[in-house]
Amino acid sequence: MTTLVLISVLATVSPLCDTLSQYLPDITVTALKESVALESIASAVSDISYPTLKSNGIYRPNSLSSIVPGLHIPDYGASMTSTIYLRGMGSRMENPVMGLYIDGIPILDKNVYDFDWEGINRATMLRGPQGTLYGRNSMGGILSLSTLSPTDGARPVISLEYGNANTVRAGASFIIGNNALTTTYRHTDGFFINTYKNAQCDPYDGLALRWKWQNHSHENTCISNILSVNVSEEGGFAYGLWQNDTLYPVSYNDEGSYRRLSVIEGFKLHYCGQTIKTDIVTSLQLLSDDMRMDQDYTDRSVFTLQQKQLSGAGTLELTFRRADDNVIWKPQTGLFSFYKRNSLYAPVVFKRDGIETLILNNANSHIPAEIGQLTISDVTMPVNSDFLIDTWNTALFHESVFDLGRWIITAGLRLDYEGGNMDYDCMARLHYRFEPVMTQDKELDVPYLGAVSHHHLELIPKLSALFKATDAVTLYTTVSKGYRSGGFNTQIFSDILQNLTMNAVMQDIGVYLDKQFVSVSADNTEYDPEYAWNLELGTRLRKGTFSAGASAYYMDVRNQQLTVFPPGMSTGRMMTNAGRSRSIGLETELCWNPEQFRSHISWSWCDARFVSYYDGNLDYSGNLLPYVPKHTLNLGAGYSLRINNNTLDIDASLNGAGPFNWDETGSRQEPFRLKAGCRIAFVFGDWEIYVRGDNLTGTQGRTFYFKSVGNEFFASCKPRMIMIGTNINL
Amino acid sequence: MLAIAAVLAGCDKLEKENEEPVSVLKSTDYSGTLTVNASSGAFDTDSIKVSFNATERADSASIILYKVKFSPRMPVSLDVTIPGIVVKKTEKGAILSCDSIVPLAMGGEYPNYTVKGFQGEIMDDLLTFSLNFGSTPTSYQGKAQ
Repeated sequence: MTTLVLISVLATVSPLCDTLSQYLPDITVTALKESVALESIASAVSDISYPTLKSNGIYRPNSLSSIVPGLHIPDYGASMTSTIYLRGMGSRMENPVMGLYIDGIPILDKNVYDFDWEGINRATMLRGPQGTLYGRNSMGGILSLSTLSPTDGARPVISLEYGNANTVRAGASFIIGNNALTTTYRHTDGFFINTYKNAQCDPYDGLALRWKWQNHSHENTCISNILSVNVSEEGGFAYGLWQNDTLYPVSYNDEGSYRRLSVIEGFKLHYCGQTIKTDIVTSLQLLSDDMRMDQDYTDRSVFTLQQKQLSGAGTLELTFRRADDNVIWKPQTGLFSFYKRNSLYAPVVFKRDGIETLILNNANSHIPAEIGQLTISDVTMPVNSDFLIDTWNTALFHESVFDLGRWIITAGLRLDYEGGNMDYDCMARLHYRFEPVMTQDKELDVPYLGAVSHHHLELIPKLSALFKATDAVTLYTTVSKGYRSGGFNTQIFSDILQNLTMNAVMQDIGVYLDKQFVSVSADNTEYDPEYAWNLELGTRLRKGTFSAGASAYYMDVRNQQLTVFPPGMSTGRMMTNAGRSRSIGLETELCWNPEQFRSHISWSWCDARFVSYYDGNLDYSGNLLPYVPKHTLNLGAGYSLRINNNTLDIDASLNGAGPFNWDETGSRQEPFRLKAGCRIAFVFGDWEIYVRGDNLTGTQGRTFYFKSVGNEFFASCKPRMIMIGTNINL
Repeated sequence: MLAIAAVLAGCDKLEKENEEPVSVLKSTDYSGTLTVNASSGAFDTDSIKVSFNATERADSASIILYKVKFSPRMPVSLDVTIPGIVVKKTEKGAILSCDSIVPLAMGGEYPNYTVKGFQGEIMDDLLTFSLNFGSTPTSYQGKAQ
């Protein structure tokens, strides 16, 4: 198969607009920004087409784990979680290390990364820093999804799947004229029981709609509009207590839930002039979500967290390229800008057990017993936090590709400015008494208001060289830089308020402890961007039905965003630029698809260590980074057996990741674990009926570990799943 | 009625004539040295702020001592309010006195440190007093800020 990738936004909206595409028999359409074909990009690339997505049961981003070498997206928490690890980078909080683009539209909020992939035709991933063209939050790579387009000419498809835990997934795709419509609904009762409530704690109901309209009736102009709406309501946070080497069932008494409404409206315009091609990509992104969490994850009434946000964002990108692709110098110049406003309401409510154990025990341990003891009579003590967070970014970028025949040299530079401002309006209210002197409770309000802001200017360069040694073999090397945006620690404000409240109580009664309740101030809650320099060597081989790719990289990560213990008696942790690390790794993909047989191997090795990291208590320099698997592996094989005019497709896979440390000390480790998957499909006429299994080995691994209030918790892998389904081409 | 009004007007005039013109009898902050003769020995603490708050009639006052320790090993400092101090005005200030007053501290009355033998005076811009906090002899000398 001759495969050429058109790497322009134009290609997504209309191959007809690209002169080169008109002469090519088979076109792989992606939504990348690069000026050259996918096979000419000097980066590690994973390109997964619809049949592979289907045969591997990939309908959510975390299903790409290990299939893309080095990519690890553990499945835990709720769909807002989307923790992504790649090449030793990643964190479970704040900004992601991987950028997500859907039909060329950048998705700004990590909370909407996890959605159902009905109508996704292709998933293309560039690994390694892609900051020059893609800017912020692409230091680990970017994932570009191409959705069903009216120009695909595909027939309407209805799909239905049912499996254990009453899991239902139903979808439909239609093309009507210039419109492509896709909808999907997913329900599951959940896989983990909250023994305290004697009910599943992770049910899910979600509905997604996408409408794509394209018009390229004018010879030189293509326009498209993409509207996607996702609404979901779910439980989650299936975390079990780990004690005495035993993992106990999930058991928490307060609400754990997540509700989300996401609306993304994108508009794209491509104009082919005589000398210049112009692309305009603009979007409006709305997110309204509400997360409620039992922060102690136990059956005691300690404390709860809510994060309810309403955010709106607008993005705009202008790109200019030469119209003629058959030239040596292919420059690309662009301007990108976005503005985002997020209104976040994030109260922490301390309940009776929490007031006793977290607040009063801490407070009274500071107060000499002969002076007195503090009591709080409230059943619940809310620490309310309202944030108004504005983020804006403007970038100017240029990349020049010199196509010298067997050599392709690429040099690029991005000047990227990002600013942010956070207004905070917090208040704690309590009724306290200082015994034995006080005989009555006294109400006290402790307000905390202010604003913090930051501004950062980045230069993101890239230099790469690609050499086509033969028609089949390509070698490349790249030096590139990426960055992950800075931000504000909103979660630490409840700790700040706790300490401020205790000091305010003491001041209110005129008692001044020699050792005051110390806390960070809001001014210290801002953290800076994280940077990664990447040096990479790679090769690609394509011979007939066999293709392979391998890359070796060294990454130097500075200003690393890590969680540390803030000073004082805080129970929380906060993100700060505390460390530096380096990652060394190898990534390999092999693919052989002769006739009716298909096979795929992905493997990665990564050694990611702290060069320096002091968390306020301990020095972890030299230790392995937590959560980063040393290996990822995916083995897949399939065969299509023709039976008269029908086909029997049999696909099997093994997927694994590990070993990795659960914390910076390495005291808790997860071994390398494999999970087996299988899909058997019978295709007759326009019907396909299949049986699909995930985690057929029943592997009882863990996907997440954390500590809360001195307790350790694990999230477990989902159990063995068997699903039957059908796809009908109408 | 006219007679009553005349008497009241006379009283009012009398009160106005007796009003102390010295501003130091109104709320004034002082800064000075607190000396505590604790059982372990006497110790001084400098820069102790004391607020003198006279009543409207300036015949009584309260004194607030800020961030005081009654022992060098005391792990906290306290704000202590001594209410009900009797004020007798003099030409240059006032004589202060009271006996057996329960001070206010830590949000309420604190009988363990009942004030006894309070004696003091305001002379020009100086405030001095001595007292026993419970059984702890204490004295203060400060200057108006």
